[in-house]
Amino acid sequence: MIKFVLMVNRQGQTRLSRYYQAVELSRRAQLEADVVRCCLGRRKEQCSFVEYQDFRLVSRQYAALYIVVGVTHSENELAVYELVHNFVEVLDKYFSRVVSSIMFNLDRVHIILDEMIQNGHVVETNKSRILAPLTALDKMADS
Amino acid sequence: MSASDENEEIAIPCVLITSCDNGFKEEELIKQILGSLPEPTKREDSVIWYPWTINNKYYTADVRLCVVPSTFQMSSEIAQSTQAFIAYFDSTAKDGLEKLHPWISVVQDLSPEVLILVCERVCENGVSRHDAQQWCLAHAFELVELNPQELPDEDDDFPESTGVKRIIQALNANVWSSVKMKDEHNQGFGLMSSLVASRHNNPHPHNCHDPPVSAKFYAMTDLDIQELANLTAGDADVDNFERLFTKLKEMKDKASSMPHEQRKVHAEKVAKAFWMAIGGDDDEIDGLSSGEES
Repeated sequence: MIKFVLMVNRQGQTRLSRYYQAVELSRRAQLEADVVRCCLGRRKEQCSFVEYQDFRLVSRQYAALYIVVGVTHSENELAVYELVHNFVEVLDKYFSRVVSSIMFNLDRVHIILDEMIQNGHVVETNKSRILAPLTALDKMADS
Repeated sequence: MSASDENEEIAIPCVLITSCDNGFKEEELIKQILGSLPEPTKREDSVIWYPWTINNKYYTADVRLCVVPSTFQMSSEIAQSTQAFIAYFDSTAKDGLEKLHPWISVVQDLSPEVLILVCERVCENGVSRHDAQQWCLAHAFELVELNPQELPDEDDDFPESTGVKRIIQALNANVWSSVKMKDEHNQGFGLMSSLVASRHNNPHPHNCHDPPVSAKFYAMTDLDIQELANLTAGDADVDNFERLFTKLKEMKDKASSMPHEQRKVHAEKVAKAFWMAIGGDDDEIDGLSSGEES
């Protein structure tokens, strides 16, 4: 299963975190700092999967943004790697190509992520269906 | 300078810019960020403030680009207003990064949101990419090369920005204390209230026997469609679900009093709206239109 999803900028600051397994608040900062050090220090040509403690990290870089997913060994890391890309494509579709939008629309990013992953498992990958509730909300807000 | 002027200056956040390379003037970087070097707003010994108004899709913010040649010129005024820190170092010298050492404790004290380490280009014989990156990781900086050797991959769908462009981007992605959000992007905050409001008002009359020819009719269809969307987007409870079907029935009844052609158009609209409301794919209904544009 998926343990957590992190979005981190190039400075290593966490922009978004979502945990699917209870981690104490006090331990999250430490975990995130550690995970960031693990992933940001890697070169592009190095593998995107990193063994970390008793689980595995799947990381992908998009311009100035890193997305890191912590998964158990029972999860298919290639599938998660593609899931990350799908997530970014959904963001891209919704925000129409503005990466910095994420900063100022964190609520929307959370809605999107929650449409895709529930309880540590992938529940939806169809882009239109992921965005349908959000589109409906936006229509309401506009009117 | 009067006390109030001084307070005003403190209120404006600043980007502290320093260079640890004698051959590189901080002004050079400011020139690249702003396009040209503006008149300084203030000058105190070797510390100089330049004005900058950041204006993007989301906000405008007045900030100062503040040149501080070394830690000795730091004052409490600068310390209090610093929200971003940019340091240039000489990557061709082996000890390039060591010259930054005095700044580390200052930065740790101030903990600005944005921390950027700048050089012309990492250098194998001086400070290598690996060294610079490790330094950045240890101190939570971002490395930006003004003139990187490897240009971003053209084929990449999400190319990295580099150089000054990246510095500007990073500064734009910060929430400054002087930030003024633009109105049209505040909608997120009103989302809940508008949801609640539309759930509580049902302004359309139930029997409509006027000939349905006017814009008024389409406005009403839109209202109905909106309620459909509302019913499916909200919490999925039994009441909502029942209401959804009552609503569909209502809309069908309304349509039955229309002339044949309009009835078809109306039915199409309702079907599309229902499809969208239950989360169907746009592509499936794209191009199915009978040509009527609303």
